Order: sequence, then structure tokens, then C-alpha cells
Amino acid sequence: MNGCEDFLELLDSFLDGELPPDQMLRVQSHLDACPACRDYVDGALTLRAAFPSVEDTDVPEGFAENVMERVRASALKPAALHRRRWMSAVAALAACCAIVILLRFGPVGMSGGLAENTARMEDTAESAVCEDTENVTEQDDGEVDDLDAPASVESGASYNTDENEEKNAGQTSSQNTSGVEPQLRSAPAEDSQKIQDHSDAGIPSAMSEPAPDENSSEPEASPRETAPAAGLQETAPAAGPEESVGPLMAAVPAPASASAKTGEQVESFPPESRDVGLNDVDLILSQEEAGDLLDSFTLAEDNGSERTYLLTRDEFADLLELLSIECDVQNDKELITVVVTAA
Amino acid sequence: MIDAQLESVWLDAARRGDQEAFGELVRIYEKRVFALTSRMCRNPDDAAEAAQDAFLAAWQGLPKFRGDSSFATWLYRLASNACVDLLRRENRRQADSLDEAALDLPSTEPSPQESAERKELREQVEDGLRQLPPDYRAVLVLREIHQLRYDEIAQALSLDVGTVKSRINRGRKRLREILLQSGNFSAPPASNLSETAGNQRKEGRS
Repeated sequence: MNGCEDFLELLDSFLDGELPPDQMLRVQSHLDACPACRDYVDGALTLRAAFPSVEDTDVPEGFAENVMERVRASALKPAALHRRRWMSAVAALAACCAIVILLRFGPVGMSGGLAENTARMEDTAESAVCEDTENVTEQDDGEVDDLDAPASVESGASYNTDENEEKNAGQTSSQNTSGVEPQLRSAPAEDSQKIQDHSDAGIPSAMSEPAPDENSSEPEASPRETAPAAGLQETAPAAGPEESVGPLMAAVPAPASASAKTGEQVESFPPESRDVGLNDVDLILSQEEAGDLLDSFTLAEDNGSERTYLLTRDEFADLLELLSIECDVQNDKELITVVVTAA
Repeated sequence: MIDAQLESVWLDAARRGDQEAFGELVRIYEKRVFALTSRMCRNPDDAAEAAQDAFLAAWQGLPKFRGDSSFATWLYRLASNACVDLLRRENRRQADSLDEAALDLPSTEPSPQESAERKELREQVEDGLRQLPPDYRAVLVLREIHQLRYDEIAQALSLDVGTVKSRINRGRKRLREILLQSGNFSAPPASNLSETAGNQRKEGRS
């Protein structure tokens, strides 16, 4: 087989039409002169002729129907509520931090002792911020402004506790931080906590893209959730919600509002839990975190700023183990979507 | 024949959530997906399940599919992943380990009696494919049955082209050896040296 070494590597490409024309000719000439190489090529061509063809494939009866049944079943699944709960809890923390920063430096306009009020403000203002943030990103101020119902904070708060179970990002009223304070000063600390719980439910819509096919309960939740918040709005000073919303929006992590618009990205939260709650993405990693761990997985898309991988459930479990993070996904999901951002 | 334009219309609609359009895509591609899964799975039931899984994964993954690769290539990728996933699930249940060897198909070498019979070459190739290691089998199936180019195979299996080439080469050699050993494969009549060359290759294989 001397002299064939150069050609051995080319034989398969020759067989598969992967060579440029000049090399095809070279190989063809060599085959004329070399029985061993010719034998390989002829053998491969014989096998090729004997390979089963797609047209001969037997597909079981009703296969397409079975697939469509599963497709329809998967489309009917309600929103991944558990994911949003995770999201909201962690998002509440993020917003809380943002509020703290704001209160230290932003316009507060308090009449009472700053120290005394700040602590309470942190709890209650957080709900305001989140409601504000949601409201701005949802762009639904109109609905809120119409509500005059002077629902008291207390009744609103207890109502919110029930709402918290139903959760789902609802539309809530805009609120000024200073507006919240006077009313809530009289409210027991307990209510502050309840309001915070409500804000937990309220945050997700600010942080994630509203998913039309998942949040069927959303429209129902929103009118009710705006009612108690309207009670808060009642006491808001005229100095507009817009003013407070501005800096508040700035304080909320930018990707959150970006995600509301594009639904493409979500801020990375503390590494312990990574439930994302977006329509299709199950996990988001930075390039640094991902390293080369995903290189062996299926790359579905690469748009330059992020890469999307599709993993089987087992691959995903292995990955989570390697990264020491947790992330829940729907039980019936066959493929897990993991996005790696270019950062 | 499939009208490519019509197919892309359905694809766009399916991407926007149109289930009926997706159903059309299923009908278009079911044979091709089955052609792949039936050769990568142990038995027809697994092949059917993996094929279903592949289509369901395609439905769920459609919003993310931007057409950087062809839909077919993408679908084949999902199908091969579904097969691997199925094998893993079954092996886990049996042995609770992800030993690579466990992913090989059980050998279905023809019995001596079967060997003695003159099987049609096509059946022999099917049998031989089943005996191939999954890595080789996957590339050969995509090349010979689905006529994918090397770069498409690379995309479908998440490999680089160099790996595709070497697996095709080894896969062809191994398949040929399997068929020669079963005694049913006679090299093309054109070459006088076929048998000798084949034996040489068997002994001297790297």
C-alpha cells in the first residue's frame, strides 16, 4: 500500500462528494492504478447501494397522531408556578437591595425620623417599587389610575396573603415611596410583611417576559391585585409616581426590564437556585461559569451574544451536579434549554 | 416530493405556535426520523418512543430554532439525542451506571444457520449496522441514508468535521469487516484482489 497514504485520507471524502473537482480527478486517477484503494471504494459503493432507504422505512400506524396528542397535552400545561415562586423570592431580594440603595440616596421626603422610617420603608417600599417596576414595564398605568377604591392597607394586606398563593404576576398600581409611608406607619408590622409577600407575587412580571401561553390566569389576577394597591395609591402625594419610578427603574437590575421587553435574558441570581421562569429557557449561565462544560452538548443556536444548548434531562442533571446548582424543570420536558451568555 | 416552500411556510407557522402546521411537519419528517431512530435504538418500541420524544422536543424547542442549521439537521440531532437519552434511561434502570459499553447495542450476529442462507445484501447491511458501535452507526446512517454532508453531520451530532470523517472511515471499515466475517458479503466482482485485500486489512487494521 505504499504511495497510497496520501490517498487513504481522501477516499471517504471522494466517496461522499466532499472533494473539490481537481482532487476528485486525482483520486480517480489513483484508483485506476491502485487495486487496494479501488477495492475500498468499490466496497463502500456496494454497501451504499445496499443501504436501506428512507422511503422503505416503516412508520407505525397513527404515529403522527400520537405525537400531536403529546404536543397538545404539553401546550395545555399551566404556567410553571413553582418556578415563578422561586423567581419572585429571589427577585424580591434583588429589588430589596435596590430599594435600600435608593432610600439612602434617593428622594424620600419623609416627615418622621429617617432611621425609624427607613426600616419600615424597606419592607413596604419594596412592594411599591416592584409594583412600580411592573407597572412601567407592563405599561398599563391606565388600569391602575381608574381604581378609586379606598381599600385599606390592612384589608389589602390580608387579601394579598391569599393572593400570594395564587401568585402570578399581576398588574399593580404605581406607588410613590413617600406615599406609602404615612399610611403604613399606622399599620402593624405584620401587614408590612404581608405586603412584602404580595410584592413577591408582584415581582416576577417585572423580571421575566410575560408568556402569553402560560399565564392564562394572569388577566384574572391583575384586576384583583390592583385593588389593594390602589388603597396605597390613595395617599400618594401629587408629586408624581413617575419621579419615583425613574430612579427606581434605574435601581432595578437593567436586564430585568430588558427581559420584560425581549424575554431573552434574565439577571443571574444567587447561584444556589437558578430557576428562571421564562417561557423556554431553563437555565442561564455566563461564559465563565459554563466554561467548556457544555461543549459536548447540542448547540441549537449561536447569535453571537449568547449560545443556546439543548440538553437531555440526564445531561442537565449531570451539568447541575458539576456546577453545584439547583434548577427545577417541568416533568414532561424532554429537552432542557440552557443559554450561555457571552459575558 | 416535498415542496420546500410549503415546508418553510409550515415551519414558520409552527414556530409561532401553530400546532396544525407542526403536525404537517411531523408527517413530512416521520419517515426520516424513524429511519434514524430505528437504527439507533434496540427495538422498534424504543425507536417509536425516541421518535416521539424527538418531535416533542422539536415542538418545545421551536421558538429557539432560528434556522442557522436546516430544520432536518436540527431534527436529526434531536432524534439522535432522544435515542441516547432513552438508552441511558434504560441502562440506568438496569445497571445504574453510565458505562459507555452499556450503550452499545447487544450483538445480533446471525446464527450459523442464518449465515448459511443467502440473505439479501440489504438485510445484511441492516444487521451489520446494528452491530456497529453507536458512534460509527450514527455517522453512517446520516451519511448513507439521509445523505447529509459532513458539515451537516457535524452539526447534527455536535462533532467537528474531522471527527465525522474519521468515524465514517472507521465505520465503513468495521461494517465491511462485519459483513465479511458473516460470510455473506462478497466484494464487488470488479476486483480480483478483493478477498485478499480484505484479509490483509483485517489482519493489519489499526
